[in-house]
Amino acid sequence: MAELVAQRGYGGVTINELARRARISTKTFYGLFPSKAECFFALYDEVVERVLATLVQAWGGGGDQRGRFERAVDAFLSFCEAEPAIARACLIEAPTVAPDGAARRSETVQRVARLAAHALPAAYLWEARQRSARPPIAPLVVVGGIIAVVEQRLRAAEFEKLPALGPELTAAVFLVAQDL
Amino acid sequence: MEWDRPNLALVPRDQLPREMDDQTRRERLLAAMVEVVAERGYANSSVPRVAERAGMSTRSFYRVFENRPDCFLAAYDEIVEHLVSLIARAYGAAGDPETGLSRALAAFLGYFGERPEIARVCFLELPAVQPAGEVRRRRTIERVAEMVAHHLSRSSGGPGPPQRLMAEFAVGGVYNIVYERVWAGEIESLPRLAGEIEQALLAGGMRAAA
Repeated sequence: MAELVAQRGYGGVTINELARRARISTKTFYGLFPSKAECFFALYDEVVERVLATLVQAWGGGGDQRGRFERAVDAFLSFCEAEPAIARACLIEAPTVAPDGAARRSETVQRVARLAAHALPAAYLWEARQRSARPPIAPLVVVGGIIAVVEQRLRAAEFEKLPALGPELTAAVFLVAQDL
Repeated sequence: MEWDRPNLALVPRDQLPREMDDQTRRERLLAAMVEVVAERGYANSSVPRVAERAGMSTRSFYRVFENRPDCFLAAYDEIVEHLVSLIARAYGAAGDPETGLSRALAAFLGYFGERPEIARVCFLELPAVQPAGEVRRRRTIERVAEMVAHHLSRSSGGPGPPQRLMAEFAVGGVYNIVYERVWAGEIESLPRLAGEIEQALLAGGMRAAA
């Protein structure tokens, strides 16, 4: 699935081709996965785990908050640059895949936002601390913003522009004057 | 089309003149489409059902619209026009750019808070019509990003990320939080989030520019 998605995007994958590449019969395929979508989502889940682990690791090294944040963003951008078709499939195509592509997207975004909450400067969470019952809004805004910008470059196939986004997105998130 | 009426309850058919004019037919069908889709989902909103809600015959539907997507997308387009002019007016009426941003955001969130069925249609149901739905979604986002980029160019810019990128970032962020709330069925809470969203936007590069 990963190979075919990398070559053709999710839309271009057929079960026949998939089974052929895996050197199994379509019957065997259906014994493993009820549908093309389920197989794809299994791949999606693996990619998400892998990328999140990379982000956490990148953020985990030493340095100030802004530097660590930028490393995490860079790690994400590096993944998108190295595997643009997989990144496109997971970010852009997956939400439209029935039956629960949108739900998966939502879950993943919430997860990343929970991680990101630890990585944001205190200024973001000021209002949230005033009413602590709800999870803070700011991380969702930040994660949504970063993903939107990256998706746009992926959509336009402007992969060479991805690395430059690291410092720019970090600047968008951190007040230039207020390094913490 | 009064997309700012507090509820979309259609005037009962028997209170209308016997012969509807084209304008009325179109408006009733658009309103009915939004109501039915918000209640049942696009997939379960057949043309006969929508026509019935509008107090019209299926034949009358097809005199106004080619098919179901045609009607649905027309409703979406009108909603977007209404929203765009709503936020432009809110922004323009303010004395300075930062207040303008605040007012525009409040107007945007307030509209969906009052009209949850419209939020459902725009965020959850639009993807049911492909590929036209995705094309429109992207176009609407770009349009709003243009408006935000324009706002950033008005404010005295300090050093910071490029305005276009900042605009995409801000719109993407707001879209994400609105989508999550609509998805969770918590649309009525949107207006209350305005302050926190604004804080999140201004904590970073939006303040450097604004």
